[in-house]
Amino acid sequence: MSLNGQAYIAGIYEHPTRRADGISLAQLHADVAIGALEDAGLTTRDVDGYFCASEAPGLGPLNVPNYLGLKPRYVESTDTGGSAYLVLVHHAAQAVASGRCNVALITMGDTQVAEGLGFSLGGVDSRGAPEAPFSGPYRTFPAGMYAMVARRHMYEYGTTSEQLAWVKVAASHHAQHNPHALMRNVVTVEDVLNSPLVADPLHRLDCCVVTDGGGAVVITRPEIARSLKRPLVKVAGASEFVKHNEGGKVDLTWSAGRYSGPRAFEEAGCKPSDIKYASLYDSFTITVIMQLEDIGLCEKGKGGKFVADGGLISGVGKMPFNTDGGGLCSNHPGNRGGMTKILEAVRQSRGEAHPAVQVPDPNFVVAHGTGGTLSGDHCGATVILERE
Amino acid sequence: MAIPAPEIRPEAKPYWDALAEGRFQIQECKDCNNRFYYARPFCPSCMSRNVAWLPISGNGTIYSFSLVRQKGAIASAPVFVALDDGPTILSALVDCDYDKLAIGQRVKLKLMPSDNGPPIPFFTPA
Repeated sequence: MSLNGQAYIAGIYEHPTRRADGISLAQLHADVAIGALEDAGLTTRDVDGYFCASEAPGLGPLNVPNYLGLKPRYVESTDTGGSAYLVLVHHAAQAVASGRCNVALITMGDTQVAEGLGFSLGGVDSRGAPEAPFSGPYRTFPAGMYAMVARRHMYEYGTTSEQLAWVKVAASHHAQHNPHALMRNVVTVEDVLNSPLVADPLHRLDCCVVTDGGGAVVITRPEIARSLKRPLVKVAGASEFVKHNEGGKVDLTWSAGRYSGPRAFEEAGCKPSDIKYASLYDSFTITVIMQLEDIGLCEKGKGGKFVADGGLISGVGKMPFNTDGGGLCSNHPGNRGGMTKILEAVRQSRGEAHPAVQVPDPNFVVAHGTGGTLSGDHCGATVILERE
Repeated sequence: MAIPAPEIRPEAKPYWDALAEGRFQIQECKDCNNRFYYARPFCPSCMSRNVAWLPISGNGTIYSFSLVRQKGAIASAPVFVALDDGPTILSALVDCDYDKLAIGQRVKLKLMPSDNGPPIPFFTPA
């Protein structure tokens, strides 16, 4: 069953904090929930579907409804790491489309920087993870695992550190207009290349920021969306795919977006060339280049050339991306960047991005995320939005 | 820095026991001939439980690698090694000239002691 035409994003909210001192985890989830419901013109009494991932406080689907006063008849807490909130947009839209709920609320929020837990994946208990005994002894670190994708991309396609740096440069050009961004200074290719190597070939400025914060999304039925006073943003297509290394058949030249992207485009009834704006997961600069290629926004192997010379800068390049500054400069709460990706895609679709970065005629926009580890187990999730 | 001992789970005990005796083994499916790593008591390609341990040389080539740095010093050198005998596996490089590493370079197995656990398979230039 296609969900195209059956579910609309009616409300969004991003918490302004980047370090949640003095805010409890539950309060942060409540703050973003209330913010998104107010944006939609709805209340907690209207919500009958609740969606969250593992960073939610306690047993999220039970404890958050208690705290907020929700009475959900449909709940889900799928966790695929940072892409979870794009998966949840897909699943919430599906639940609305199939009549399981009328108003679906997705919340995300993390306070772990303020709690001194900054570099872990918020809320994840990796007890029993089958690969752990075979990877733990090697001290690979997330940056090392992504760096191996970057090095292989360089080897296969001639991609350069300068090209990777352009991804950060573009994000920084956008972040200067976001008063809440953690890093608002515009950086140059030289700045990125002169920052210390973290995991060759990735430099410190090839990495995302580490922040607290969060956001929420409200998804509802067409007739309810039309009764509200917000622009109509339709979930036109959505898909996900889990990639892993198949017991040793390692191929780092593609990511899960290779399969989630085309299926989402097919459902949305549009082509990559119809996309006017892309929110792309940006844990590291290489993540962006891989996803651009894998969901079809540029040819495989040509991502480096595509992003160079401002290819991702709004008003300059062919594919404006992450116009809020993204995870690379603005916000990457809980080391989970999927929520902020859908939020900026909705802002662009509505025409409510900052005027300096708003794209013209955003009929189709895409949000794509990669959760987990790009060189290991990961879930790619693609959501395509259409403005009506 | 001491290498932490891995958690030894029942299905992987033969793998770790063999390493303690100096042998490096992967697994092979006797039904579909799939060779795989890491250890599990069935074939992840065809679901067969008819799988056997296969001692291998541990020779291979570098598929990709990185040098992870902390405070300017190299803390580890994660690598994917394409083994001559089958799967490409995650490990780390030791005893090497970090400036001379390259994709395609030949490497060989080097077992490193862990902290109160079995030896761990690392790799070093051949």
